[in-house]
Amino acid sequence: MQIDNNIIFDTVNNGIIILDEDLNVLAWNKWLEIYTKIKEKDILTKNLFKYFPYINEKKLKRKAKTVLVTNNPSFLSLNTNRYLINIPVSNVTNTIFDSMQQDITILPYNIEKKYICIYIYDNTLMCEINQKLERANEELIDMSHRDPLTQIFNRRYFSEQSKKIKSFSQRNDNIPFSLVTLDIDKFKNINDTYGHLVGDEVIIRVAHIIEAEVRTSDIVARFGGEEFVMLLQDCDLDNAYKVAEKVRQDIEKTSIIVHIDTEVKFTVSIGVAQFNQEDNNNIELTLSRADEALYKAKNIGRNKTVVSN
Amino acid sequence: MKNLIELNKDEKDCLQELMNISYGAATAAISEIIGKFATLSIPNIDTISSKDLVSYLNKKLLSKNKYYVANQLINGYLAGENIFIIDEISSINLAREFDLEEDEIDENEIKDIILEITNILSSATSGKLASLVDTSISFSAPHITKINSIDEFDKRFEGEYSHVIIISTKLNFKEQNIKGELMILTKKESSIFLKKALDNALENL
Repeated sequence: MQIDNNIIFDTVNNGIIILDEDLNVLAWNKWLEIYTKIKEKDILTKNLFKYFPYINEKKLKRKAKTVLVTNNPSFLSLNTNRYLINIPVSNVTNTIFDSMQQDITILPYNIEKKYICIYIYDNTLMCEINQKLERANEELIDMSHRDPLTQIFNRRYFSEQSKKIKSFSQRNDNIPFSLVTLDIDKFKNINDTYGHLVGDEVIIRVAHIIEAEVRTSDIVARFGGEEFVMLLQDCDLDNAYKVAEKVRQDIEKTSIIVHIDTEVKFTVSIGVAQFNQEDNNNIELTLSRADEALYKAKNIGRNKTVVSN
Repeated sequence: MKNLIELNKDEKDCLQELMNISYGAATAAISEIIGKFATLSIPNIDTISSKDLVSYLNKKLLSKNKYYVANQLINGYLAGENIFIIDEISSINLAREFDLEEDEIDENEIKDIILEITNILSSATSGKLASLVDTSISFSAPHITKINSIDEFDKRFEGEYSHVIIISTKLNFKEQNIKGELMILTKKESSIFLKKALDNALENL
């Protein structure tokens, strides 16, 4: 049976270009005519780079040489090249890519004459689905790291990060870092007097004040209830005390207006400890020392910052 | 369970010889593509069970180095996957040998060069094995990832494949030597096929 390859060439749902070794166009299929709006008769014998100057000539020539030398296919994968020929995406449902995302296969077409063939596959839909999945995954990971009420980090994330920061410190001449534990004073009274919604608002306000006082490299986490922890990187005990005191004073000055004539004021007690060799390489012991200092602050009248010796 | 790809001494010698021939072809191709003299040697070839792959890599490679891992699926009777692992410094040296200027060497270009080398080594080695048993194979587009230590190496290979042929690779240029590990991962069925390929080659000697 005689097979007419031209039918396949012009009806297949991907782009096909046949080129000589200098990358002059020898054939250009219907798919490409439709998507690029360039007719085959206009591009025949022309050099591909003259039409598409953004193509990396050095790389494509190397690929062409590779397929002709090895007599095997070569690939331009989407990992490194988003497209060979820039084709604007016309699909209205696409919200991510401006250009068609392409998978490119380069094949030897005629070894003796040194002709190569390029297949262009439209991979935009798959890329879009992948990117949406990746984003959803990132959001899920982020959600699993955060406290839903305050949107600051949770205890689990704190534990993971504190271990990394401890290792970093130990690898870098024991750069100091400190832990600050913080507890809202008489929080049960606030809940009992004004209700849980006001209690929640107090917790959110405290979280925001703490976040405003620390650097992006520090970690602020809600450990549960009305308890918070700060991990201050590259920060010794004296500086940690200064940061903690600033937070305590800012919280002391703030208030929440419940009704027109009701202002809720609140305070916090704080314990501060620096990670050191005596903690036996266990950050939980540093946390315990900060907690002990916090209880001392509670016992000496609340609204105080106490450092661990 | 009996190790299906347990090769006797003759089969191992045969595999080493075949891979030497394949690497000869790959070397000639690489030299011609980049226009420089290069030699590609195989100081070591080994076969292990896929569950031992990670511990093998832990012993062989420096755990704290950064590596590029390129993998390429093989389709057909010799179905499996080829993996090429190369450290970051060797990768940069490789890019230089491919005549990239210093300002052209970036993550994307390095990855592209490694994919190219993987593609050449894959087609030379697996293509050679396929030709011995008169079967056709095809290769999917290779993919590449960068890992910060060997601990991040994808462990899915342990369950997916049964055996691994490890070809330690040394690509020697005039200026510098580049080291990498090519691994041919085979499924049970293709392991049987591979053994058959080696036996065929031995019979025809």
